[in-house]
Amino acid sequence: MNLPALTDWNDMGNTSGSSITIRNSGAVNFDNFTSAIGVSLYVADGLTLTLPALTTFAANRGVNGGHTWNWRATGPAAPLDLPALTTINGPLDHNAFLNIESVAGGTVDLPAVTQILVPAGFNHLARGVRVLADGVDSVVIFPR
Amino acid sequence: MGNTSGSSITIRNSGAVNFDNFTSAIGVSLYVNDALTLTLPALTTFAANRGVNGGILELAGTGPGSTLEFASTHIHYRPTGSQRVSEH
Repeated sequence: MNLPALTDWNDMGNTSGSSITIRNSGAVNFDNFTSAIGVSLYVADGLTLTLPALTTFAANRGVNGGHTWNWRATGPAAPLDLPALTTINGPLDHNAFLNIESVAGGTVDLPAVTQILVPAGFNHLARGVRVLADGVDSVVIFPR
Repeated sequence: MGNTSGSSITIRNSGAVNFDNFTSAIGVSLYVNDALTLTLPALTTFAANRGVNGGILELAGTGPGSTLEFASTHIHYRPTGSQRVSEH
């Protein structure tokens, strides 16, 4: 899938249904994709998902709560690579989470992130950004 | 700033995270399992947030050898509002 002109993906529907997935030798080109709101990211099967221009991410409101956004790298040599991302904004509504996960030897590479924020939202019930590294050689990399 | 208790960092089953330059954590629980070590060498500020409704912020090392290590020589800890910190 080749979408080099795509710059913004805004899930204004306040849901958690939007996602980018590559697996089984698939590939996407989102080389100029700079801003994502409410989009999950999945990579597996030894592939690489790189969004070289993405600088900002925000979970959306998640109306009625209970929404989860996932960034998940599964298995060895299948990195999720966001080299320009500097700020991650978590969800606003209750019981809503952004999960950043490396599992089964996966790598999530976030070398430019300087801030993870969960803004003051619409209520004060549980929500947040959760970072998980689970499995041999699973790693989540923040700036060194 | 969400004043919740939902954000966390977890390592388990040989997983790892690199937070070498992570200097400030507010309202983030930390969990270490399976005899791993989570090191936050640059962390100097650790604070609970307001914690409306009384959330619990947890620092938890589960099982022998699981280590949560703050390498900084000085950490400023600020319990605030109604949120409690539970240290395991």
